[in-house]
Order: sequence, then structure tokens, then C-alpha cells
Amino acid sequence: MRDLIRMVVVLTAICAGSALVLSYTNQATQTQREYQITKYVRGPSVIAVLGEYDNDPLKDVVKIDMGKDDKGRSIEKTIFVAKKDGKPVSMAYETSSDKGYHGTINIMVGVDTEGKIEGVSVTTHSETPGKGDLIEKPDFRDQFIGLQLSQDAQLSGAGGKIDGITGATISSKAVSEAVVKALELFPRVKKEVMQ
Amino acid sequence: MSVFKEFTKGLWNEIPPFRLVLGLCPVLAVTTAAKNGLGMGLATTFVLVCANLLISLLRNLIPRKVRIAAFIVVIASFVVIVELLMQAYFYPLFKVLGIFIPLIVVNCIILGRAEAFASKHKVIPSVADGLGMGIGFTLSLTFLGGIREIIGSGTLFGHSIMWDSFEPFSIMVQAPGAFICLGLILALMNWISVKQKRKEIS
Repeated sequence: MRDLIRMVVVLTAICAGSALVLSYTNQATQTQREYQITKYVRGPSVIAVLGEYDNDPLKDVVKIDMGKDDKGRSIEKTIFVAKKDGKPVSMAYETSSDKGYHGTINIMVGVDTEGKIEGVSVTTHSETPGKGDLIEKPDFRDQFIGLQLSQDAQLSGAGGKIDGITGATISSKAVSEAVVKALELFPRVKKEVMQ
Repeated sequence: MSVFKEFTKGLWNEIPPFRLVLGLCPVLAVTTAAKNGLGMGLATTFVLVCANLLISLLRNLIPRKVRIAAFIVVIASFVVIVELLMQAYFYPLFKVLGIFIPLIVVNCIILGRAEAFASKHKVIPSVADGLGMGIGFTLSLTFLGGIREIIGSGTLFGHSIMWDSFEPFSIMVQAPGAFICLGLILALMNWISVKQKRKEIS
């Protein structure tokens, strides 16, 4: 009997000690781990869409509350702010369109303080290789640079300034839709960043 | 003297993957490049030393009947700590090693050393044993990774070292290359020790 109690007590104590140490390590490394994920997963596209800056946009982030999703969880949007001499010069944020040929297309858009697009980069998509995935190429996505009005970011067929990719109209349209969303979101993003 | 002996036995006489032929899963899987082998080896060394230290400290407290469960909890905790730290500070390496970091828990070298050594010896020899075994493991993984990287992609630690017209044997960085390379190293090591023994006899 005494043996049994001793076994239970020792094992419980070891497990409790382990839980304590692990929860502490988890908390202590949390911000650093989040930063690493941002840097290596979203970092390359953030840097690709921003113009000139002298800070680390991956660290200067502003989070905007975007309301709730279908399941009632709150959605946050992360804005990466590029600064020069301490003043915000442009910002990058993600938008998406679920009207791609094979599901959702996520894009990162860089916009300067005037609302002009500095760059667009496709972060995740599952479009057809060799056709729809041409949306990743600069030939297509650089057409958005310098645009300011959401009307202009439409495809040329819909009265905009963007030439769609031959054979991948749906993919092109989805990217354009996501850019339009980004431009429409801009006034709110700017307000939050300038605060 | 004996502490030193516990340390050095892991470096040649009982070098884990080549002599004890233990812990082969990470040895074969992650050694596609010297850097990956080194990273894996260092992570394992950390777990090995910490687990040996703690288990040796607790060896008189842990009842024999639940010792394996207790050892595994201790080892798993250290593995999770390593995993979190790697994710926070060495993210690219963490990505490359992937599932093999959590799998350090079931690496039989660690449980083996805890059971066979740390649970029966004092703290300092246990740490020396863990350190020796860990460094031996790290050296083996780096060596194997280095050979595979040189032949399989013509680089070492990411630096190009072969002549320009060198055509990499890409089989060496794939799974069969690991087996071929390990087999050749084992053969070489056995050949060397047989030769040494003959010298001693004659």
C-alpha cells in the first residue's frame, strides 16, 4: 500500500513539475515564436510589396479588429507599417478572394499613405500550375502598381486598367477582386495606423 | 579519471549510431546536409544531458515500478522545451527538422542512457556520460550529413566546395544514400577496430 501511494505521489509530482516548466517556456517564447512565423512565412511578401523604409515593418504591426466570423470568433487583421524617420510611409496587409478557380487566393498589398499601390504579391493560392499560377508573375501583378481608384483595379473587360491572363480569366479576376477589397479597406487602415 | 572515461567512451568505443547502432531514425532521415545533422545532434545532446542530470538527481526518489513512465515524462518535457526554443530562435532549422524534433522523445539513446546509466550513477558521471554520448551522436550525424552533402549536392555547410564540372550524385541526399553511406562507415569502423585488436594480440 505504501508503495502504491509513493508511486502515485512521485509520478504526480514529476508531471506537475513538467507542466509548470512547459507552460512557463511556452509563455516566455510566445512573442518571439510569433515573430519568427511572421518573418519566414509572410515576411518575404511583406518586403516585396513595400517601397523604401528604414524600420522593421515585421515588428511595427498594428492589429485591426475585423468583427466576427461565422462561428463568432473575432478576426484580426495585421497591418505591417513601413516607416521612414519614424513616420509611416506605407503599409502592407493581406486580403483574399474566394473566387479563385480552385478556392481562396490570398494576396499581400502594399499601399502608401496616399492610397497608391506600391506592390501586390500572391501569398497563397491553389490555381492550376502553368495557367492560373501565372498570377504570381510580375508581368501580371505589377500592373497594379500606382493604381489608387478601385475602379482602375478591375480587369479591362470590366472597365479597369488590368489586362487579365489569357486562359486564366477567373484567377485574374479573383486577384483583382482582392486588390479592390484592399483599396476599399484603405481609409480604415490609414485611420488606425495614423493614430 | 572515471568521469573522463565516461565522457570519452561516447566518442569512440560506444559512439551511438556507429557502435551501438542506436537511434538510427534521425541518423538516416535528417542527415541530408551537414547543418541539419549538426542541429539535430545538438538538440539531442541538450535533451540527453538535461535528462541524465535530472534522472540521476531523482534516481533514489523514483520507485522502480514507475521508472519508465517517470523517465519519459522528464525526457518529453525537455524535448518540448527544445522544440519551443528552436521555433523561437532557429526557425529555418526547425522547419527542416520538422517531425524529427518531437521524435527525439522516442530516440532510444536517450531512454537507453537514462535506464542503463543515469538511474544507477551519481550526478557528475551521468552528465559526463550524457555529454559524451551527445557529442558522439552530434559528430556522427554531422560527419554522415557532411559526406552525403558533399557527394549529393557538392556543398559543405551550404558552401560550394567541389570543382566546377562536378556532377552531384543526387541519390546520396535521398533515402538510399543514407543506408549506403551508413553501411560503408560501419564497415570502415569495424575494419579499423579489427586491425587494432590484431595489433594488440601480436
